[in-house]
Amino acid sequence: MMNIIEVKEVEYQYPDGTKALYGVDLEVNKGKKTAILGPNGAGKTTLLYLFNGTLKPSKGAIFLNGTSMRYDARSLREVRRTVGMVFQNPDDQLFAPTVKQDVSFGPLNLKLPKEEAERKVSESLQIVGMIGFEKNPPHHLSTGQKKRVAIAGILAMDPKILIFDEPLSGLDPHAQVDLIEMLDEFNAEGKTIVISTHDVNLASTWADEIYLLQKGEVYAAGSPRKIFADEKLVRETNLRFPVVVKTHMEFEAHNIYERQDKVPLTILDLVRNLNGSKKQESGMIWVVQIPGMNEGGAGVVDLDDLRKMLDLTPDRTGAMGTSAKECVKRLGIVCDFEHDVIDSAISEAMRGANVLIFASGRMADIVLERVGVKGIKGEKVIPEVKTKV
Amino acid sequence: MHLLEDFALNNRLSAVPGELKLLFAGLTLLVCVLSTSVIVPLLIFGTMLSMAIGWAGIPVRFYTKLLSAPLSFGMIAFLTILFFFGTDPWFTIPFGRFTLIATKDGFELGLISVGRMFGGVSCLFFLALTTPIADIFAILKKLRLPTVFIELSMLIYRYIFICLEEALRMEYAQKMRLGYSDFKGAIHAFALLASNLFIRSLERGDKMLIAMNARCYDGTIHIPEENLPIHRTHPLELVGVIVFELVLIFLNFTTKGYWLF
Repeated sequence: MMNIIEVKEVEYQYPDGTKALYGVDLEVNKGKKTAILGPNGAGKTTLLYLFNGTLKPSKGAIFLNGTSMRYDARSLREVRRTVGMVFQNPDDQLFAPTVKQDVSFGPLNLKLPKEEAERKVSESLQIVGMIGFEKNPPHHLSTGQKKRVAIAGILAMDPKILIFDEPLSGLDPHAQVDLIEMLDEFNAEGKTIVISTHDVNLASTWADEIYLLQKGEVYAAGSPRKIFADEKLVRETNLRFPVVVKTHMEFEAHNIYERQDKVPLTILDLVRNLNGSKKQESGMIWVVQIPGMNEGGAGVVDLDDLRKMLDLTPDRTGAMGTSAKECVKRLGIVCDFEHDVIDSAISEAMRGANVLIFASGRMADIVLERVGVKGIKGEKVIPEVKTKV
Repeated sequence: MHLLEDFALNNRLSAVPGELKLLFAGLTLLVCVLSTSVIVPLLIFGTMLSMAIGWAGIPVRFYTKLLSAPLSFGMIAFLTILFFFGTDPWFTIPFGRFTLIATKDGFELGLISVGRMFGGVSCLFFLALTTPIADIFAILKKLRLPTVFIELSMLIYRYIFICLEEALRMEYAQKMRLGYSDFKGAIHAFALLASNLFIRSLERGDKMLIAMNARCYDGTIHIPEENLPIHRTHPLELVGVIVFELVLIFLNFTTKGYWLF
């Protein structure tokens, strides 16, 4: 596995003398989801600013794709083309009088030809679900919509690494779930994602790798399971336990179930622990793979062929990803779940129901992988794709 | 809060290219300001009003509300000119220890000034109510105005709203804690608000530059260009506008000698 970003012994001191980072070592693996977890003032944002060359470390070095980051104008351009950053407050990012002008800012700076820039803009707006708002000024949008436009502005430059500073801040619960799914979709399409957050629930369920930042230092690093299994560590860093982990600890303490060797991270894990050895005939999960946005999206799927899939007579249906949801809409099916799809589907299957999931692109494989881990039968179905005229 | 802009974005004339609307409003404004007869500005006012309300579909109530500001200003201007800017006495009004003398030529002058003002205001209202600001920036760019000027206008435009929101939030926060309860307190609270707003806008500016640099900002904001020149897409409308202006100019000359006295 390759480290796409490598931070080596980096220190950073602001011009006014405040020291924000004291010798940080960190690695971001390609194609993974990394969370930088820490309280306010731990230096999370400063660290993110180092990733795209906004700040230059006072000491140490940052390696992007194995080469040391340089800070001349031309190199920085390349860095920013590779590393896209979405700010915490979308109002800091959106500056243009209309949504379209704002999103096209990046592609036009990259000197893309007009048609290509145009295509990128509409593609990105499609992915974030903001088609139809092109002419609106940003101050006419809600915070959630502004956030989407801000993300589209970054997507339009097609960066390999996406960085989100506190992605959920200011969003309502529905918008939060949408955003997390969007992050997963980008990740499924091969993008490396780094977020900063102080939300332990988000970090524990979403991330592959967590870096615990405390007072400008990396206090601990590892998988969510490793971090949140370490009670001492969590106490020392003034973090709180995720709700699921806390519940699990209470269950153990009250002898509701026996001590487990693995810390549960999702509600499903908890249910499994509670069920113990109780065996139940589990259902089947079919995953219909709809081409992702970069492979033509819902438009290229042969809907008639897709209708035949419905002969599978599922008890429940779900959709995850932009193109899959679009497809479901075109088919006129009302989904039972559109959020937290994988866990909901597994839960249904564990109780014996057959579930049909529409998933965009590589997300289908991720579903199967997760389903397989839980020991439930899964099958991938690939619908016919219209031949291009 | 953004009612004016809402109308500009969604009205029955949204689809008409901005150039045409700008040309129409701009030329008419010019004719209005230069007119020497009172008939022409009133005619312009009537046309613009009916176009905004009848054609673009702006609610009458909203339009009259907008008009109330220039109306009061216009009344004051008219009375001032009527009583103080003429030589030929018309009638008098006793005013305490003084006597106000209305003049005939003052009346004519007042009427024409106020008429021009309303004509002009209606032209600008028409433009503001039917044309989104982004269209206007695009036209300015087509007119080859200096990029610095256009970029600054774009940023200022966006930041007016951000600063406005910020200021309103601060004002609420102050009122919540009984700021502005007496005159002295109001001055103090306002001073705090103004200085704080200044500092915050500087900080915002800093952040914005960082965000723009993160998207490879190279010193110029490239505006995506669209649509064809209007003489290709809307030739008839263009001719219509020009004919309308010529008629107005013609009317100006024929009604020039029309005076009340």
